Amino acid sequence: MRRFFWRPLPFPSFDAPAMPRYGRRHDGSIRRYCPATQPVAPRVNAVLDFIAALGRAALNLVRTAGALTMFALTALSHLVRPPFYWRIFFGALIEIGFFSLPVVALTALFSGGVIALQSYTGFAQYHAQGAIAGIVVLAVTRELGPVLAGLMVAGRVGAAMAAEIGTMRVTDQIDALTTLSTNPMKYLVTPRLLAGTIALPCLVLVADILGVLGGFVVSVVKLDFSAPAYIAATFSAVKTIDVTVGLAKAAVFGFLITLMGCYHGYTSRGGAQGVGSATTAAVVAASILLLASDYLLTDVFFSQ
Amino acid sequence: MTQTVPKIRIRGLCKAFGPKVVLDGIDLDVMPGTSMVIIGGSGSGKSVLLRCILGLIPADAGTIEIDGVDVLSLPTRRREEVIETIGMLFQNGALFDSLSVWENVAFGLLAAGRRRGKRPSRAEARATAGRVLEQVGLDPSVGALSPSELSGGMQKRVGLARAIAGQPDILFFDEPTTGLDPIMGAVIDGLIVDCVRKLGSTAIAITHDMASAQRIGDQAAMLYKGKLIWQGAASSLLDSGNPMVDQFTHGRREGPISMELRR
Repeated sequence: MRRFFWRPLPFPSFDAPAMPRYGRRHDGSIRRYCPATQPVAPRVNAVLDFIAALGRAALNLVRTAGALTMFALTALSHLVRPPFYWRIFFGALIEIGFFSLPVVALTALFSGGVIALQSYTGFAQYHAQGAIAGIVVLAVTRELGPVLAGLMVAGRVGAAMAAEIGTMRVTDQIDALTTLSTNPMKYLVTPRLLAGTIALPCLVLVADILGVLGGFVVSVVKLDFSAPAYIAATFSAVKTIDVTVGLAKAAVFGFLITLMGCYHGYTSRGGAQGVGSATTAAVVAASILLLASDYLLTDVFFSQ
Repeated sequence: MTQTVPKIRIRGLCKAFGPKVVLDGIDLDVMPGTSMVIIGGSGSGKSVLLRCILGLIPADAGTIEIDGVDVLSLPTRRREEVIETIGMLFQNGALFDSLSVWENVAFGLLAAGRRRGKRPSRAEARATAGRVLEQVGLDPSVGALSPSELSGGMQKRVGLARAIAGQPDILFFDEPTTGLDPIMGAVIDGLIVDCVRKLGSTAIAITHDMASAQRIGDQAAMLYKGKLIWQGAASSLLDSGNPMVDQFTHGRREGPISMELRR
């Protein structure tokens, strides 16, 4: 009883932890740090724990990157190994390309208008309003068209794919495919990757046109530009490479979005919660990869 | 009986997930045309055993021979051909909810036809699916519905129809009567017995349901802690003489098997 009173409070005690402490071994099993058998000073333990946590994160990153690469390569290899599932391909093409049209169109229309408004505020100070048409068309074709359409599709299609394939995984439907002489990668993943890579550039072409239209409408209706002069300025500012690189970016984004949706769905575990976190991970990973690859592609194509 | 090659012959099959050993040296023979029922508690590795045979989970050690050929050492392509001869009824049906019922039933037929280069037309496949649906006691008009519109018992029937549509040599049943009322359970068991007999297939069923086990099985085995602790005739399940099997089949709380709630 006396000892009890003299014990230091549990929380800040560094010499003898009152509670057993737990950690995880590399294989995932629980390890208990027992003070009697672990005479290592707690301060050293804390440092080691920190290094171990860093190491685990690094290993996880490498492991995920490797798994993702293998996943993508396997899916791509099925492109040249028949059969190819055209019905799934066209279904995904319509889902991505056609049903995303309204949301992508509205996004592009408003962003084009906003750029016209914002650049007018700045450029009017230097009497450079004539540059607005060029700013709008370059911003939309080079950046905003592909990126905004990509982000919208990531939220819409990437999430839906992860949820659908993830539900198939946790309800054994993917295993059932295997027992019905169908390779699940070939059936579920490859057609979707191809559909995403083809559909997004088509969507972005529409977004480019509507973005420019948004800027045109705002400039002519609200800022009193002359319509023929605006159109002429637009065409003199834009070059073919601006549009083609934007479309090439869109193809890369389409591939990444569908890859993330399929990968996270395919590898999801553990019921409804697993599917939920797979969906979140798919959207977050697709958005980040999209913006990172956007930077890289811009650097490669436009940095002179 | 001893002269014939077993349809499925498993030797020393081991599988562990991290530190947890699920299958620990399984030896099992299933003779052609017989039905083997595997019983065992939840988490005793019954489903993992079936998945290892199907190649859905890679085994750590051991051999699995089907018709005398070790499937684990076969190249992928040959192995897929062997897997094609196995039909499986999954625990919750695992019907493809993006497809209609008849497309589910005909899925394996279309896929196998596509692989062999003589794919049946969709009309032919639909007619075949209708016939198979009739075999499991469903009206062919059910084929137009989506799986989510069906009751649990009907989904089980469609799952069974999908498993037998390709006329497989081997049939696996993963808890075929779980979640059904006793009458529907008996009906499904009857269908399973009919189908297995009609196709002349070899069957492995895993179940917790003793009545079902006795109806479906010729032989029975019990899996406990990754090992097969008992094998015998399915009719002797309730008086096997093995204390563990007796405790399990009679559902007693006291006995040699203690439920491990925590690891």
